[in-house]
Order: sequence, then structure tokens, then C-alpha cells
Amino acid sequence: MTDCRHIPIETLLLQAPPFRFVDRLDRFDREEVVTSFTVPADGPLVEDGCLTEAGLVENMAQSSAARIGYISVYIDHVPVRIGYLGQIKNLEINRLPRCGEVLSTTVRLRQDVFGITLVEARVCEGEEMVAQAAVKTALRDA
Amino acid sequence: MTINEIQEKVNAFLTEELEINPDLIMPEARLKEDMGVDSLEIVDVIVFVDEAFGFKMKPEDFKQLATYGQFCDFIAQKVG
Repeated sequence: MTDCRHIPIETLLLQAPPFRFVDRLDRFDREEVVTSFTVPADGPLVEDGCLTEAGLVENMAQSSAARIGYISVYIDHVPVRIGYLGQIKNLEINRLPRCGEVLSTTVRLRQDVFGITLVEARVCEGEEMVAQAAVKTALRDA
Repeated sequence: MTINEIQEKVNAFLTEELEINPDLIMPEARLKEDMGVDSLEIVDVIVFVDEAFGFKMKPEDFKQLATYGQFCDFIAQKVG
């Protein structure tokens, strides 16, 4: 896997703070990427000191989008496109992450066709699996 | 694998995964217009075919597969 920690995330994702739920793309390969995100003390999708379920889903979807962003910029050499969350399936949340915890999200590609990407996303804090789901994202036509 | 076995697997997928009304499943039913398979679900179809029948569909395959019957026949041709 390619070490991507030096790449500014804003070059891969169009979401801007406070609506960005990925801090960094750590590693990339075509089939799998790993991102990291520190849960902020406050902001949208943070409640009672924890990232909400919606925040976890955003983290998964934006991790998938970071993979697509990397491919756009560094492989296809085209502008990053806006992506939309299409569907979440098999969502499993073990607990809500607390402020200050660093989440490591692994996204594994299952299918990519017609501009729709299906991934399996797994969010961990340390060795603990916090949440997982199958996530579909769709790209808006350029 | 017989066409009946293929249809059995396809029907289970359509009703359980895509939640399509079993009454709509008939050979001439159009996947998109009659059964409501949308573009997001095409991805599920591709994953299902790969896992259930062991081959990867290509996007262009869908251009010639309008109906449920054509879809099952296509799988039958591929799996022999």
C-alpha cells in the first residue's frame, strides 16, 4: 500500500470543515484504503461528547470518497468530483466513539460500476472495532 | 446448473436482497421499469452474480439484458 499521510486531505475530498469527517488518507491501494479521523470536541454530528451514528456513517462514506479522490488526482489526473451517499447496508455499531479518540477506517472495494462504488467499511479505535457497514456512494457526472 | 436452479437463486436474491414483490417476477418483466431495479442496485446484482455464479458481469452486459428472462438466460449461457 502507498503511504499517503503527506497528502493534504482537502486535495482529495470536497467536504470542508466542520463537515469533513476524515483528517487524513493514511494508505492507499486500488482495493483498500485506510483513513484516520480524530473525533472533535464539538461540531455537527457530535452529541454528548460522542460522534453520532450519522457521524460514523459520514466517516465511512468520506473514507470511500477519499479513495476515489486519490484515484482521480494521482492516477486518472482528473478533478475530484462530488460524491453522494447512496445507501448504507448491514450497519453495525458497537459503540459511539468519544471526543478525542482517533478512528482508523478501512474501506475495502467490492464493486465499482456506472459511477457507483460499493465498499465494506470498518471503523476501529485502536484494536477495537467500533462500527462497520456496506456503503454505496455515487458520483455526480462531471 | 439448470435454468431452474439459476432462477431459484436469482429469485431469492431479488426478493430477499432487493425486496422485489415475488408477483412481479416473470420472464418478460423488465428489470428496471417493471421490477424497479435502479442504478444503485445494479451494483448489488453484479456482486450477487459474482458470488453466486462465479463470474464478473461487465457494465455493457446490462445493455442487452432488459428482462428477467434475458438475465437468467445470460447467466445460464455463462455457467454452461
